Amino acid sequence: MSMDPHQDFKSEIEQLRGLKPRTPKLDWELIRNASSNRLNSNLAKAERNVVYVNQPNRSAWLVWASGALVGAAAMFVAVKTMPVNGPSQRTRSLPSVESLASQGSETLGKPKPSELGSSRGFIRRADLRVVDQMFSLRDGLEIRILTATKLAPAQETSTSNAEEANAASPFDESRNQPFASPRVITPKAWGAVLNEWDGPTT
Amino acid sequence: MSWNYEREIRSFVEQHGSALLLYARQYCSNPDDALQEALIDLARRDTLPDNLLSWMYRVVKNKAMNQARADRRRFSHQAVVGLANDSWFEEDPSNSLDAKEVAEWIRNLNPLEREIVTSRIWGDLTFEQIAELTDTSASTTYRLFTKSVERFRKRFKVHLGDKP
Repeated sequence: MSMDPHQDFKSEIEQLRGLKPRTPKLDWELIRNASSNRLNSNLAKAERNVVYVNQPNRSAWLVWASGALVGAAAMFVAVKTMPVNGPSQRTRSLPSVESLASQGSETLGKPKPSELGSSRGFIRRADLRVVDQMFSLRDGLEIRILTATKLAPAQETSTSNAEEANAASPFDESRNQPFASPRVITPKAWGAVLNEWDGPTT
Repeated sequence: MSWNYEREIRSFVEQHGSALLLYARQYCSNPDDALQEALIDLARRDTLPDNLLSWMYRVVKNKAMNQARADRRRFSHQAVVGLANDSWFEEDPSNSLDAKEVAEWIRNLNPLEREIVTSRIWGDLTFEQIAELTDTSASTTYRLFTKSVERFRKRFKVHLGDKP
């Protein structure tokens, strides 16, 4: 027997093939509709793709906008709730002498460990108070000098040399109270007062 | 459906529809429906399969077996396999073979032999394609085919020899 059964059973096979199987009864409308649905779905898919290409996704824009809003709100809340330490630059001012004096008893008055044993002294509250009084006294003095300078030429003509000598005398009563009566003080007397002021004090 | 595509399907059915119907008949009682469903699946495809003939035999077999499972719940086994009274072949007085006797011979083959004979003689599938369809080897299909045809020869030798 060969490998080709058609050679061995040629006549039998030809006889069998002579019998025609019954032809199928098909509904071609169903087959046509199935193909039409496929074409329509493909067309709809293609149209959808075209729409997606021409129009960006709206949900992406919504996500982006909502994210930006949330971020801005979070930043605003963070700034509003941030704690503020210490006074601002506008309210800050130089410390007064009194405050320095009050701090002096606590901080300034205490020597640092590195300064312990040294001969240098430290500022006390009383010293600061004296300095403050000296400054205020000097301000008042300068004001009075200016006032006297303006008034001096009118009074110089009415005063005698003896009065000037008395006014310049270191033993004059005006020496104890040089600013009590400005009208009688001459520039020379003021000069003596200032010299005495600038001089060494005990 | 494009007309060219429909024409291809119509041409395929004219060429292989009858053999596919005979092939489906061994599984179910209504082979026309099985073939119809297979053709609908074919029409839904965007492109034709590479090997359309093998693909159609596979799909028709699956459709027919699914239909047989559904029919088995309602009818007897004899009605399910469709081996009863429905005519398998067209009546052809010019052919020396009796269509009913041939149908009876096919009916008496075992299922695998029946599948091989119908797909080889009327479906014109190669033994490799039949082996792939039946999940066997090509040599097995060849052996079973020759065995079936020998049986046919023994049974119809008298009739063929009696033919003047």
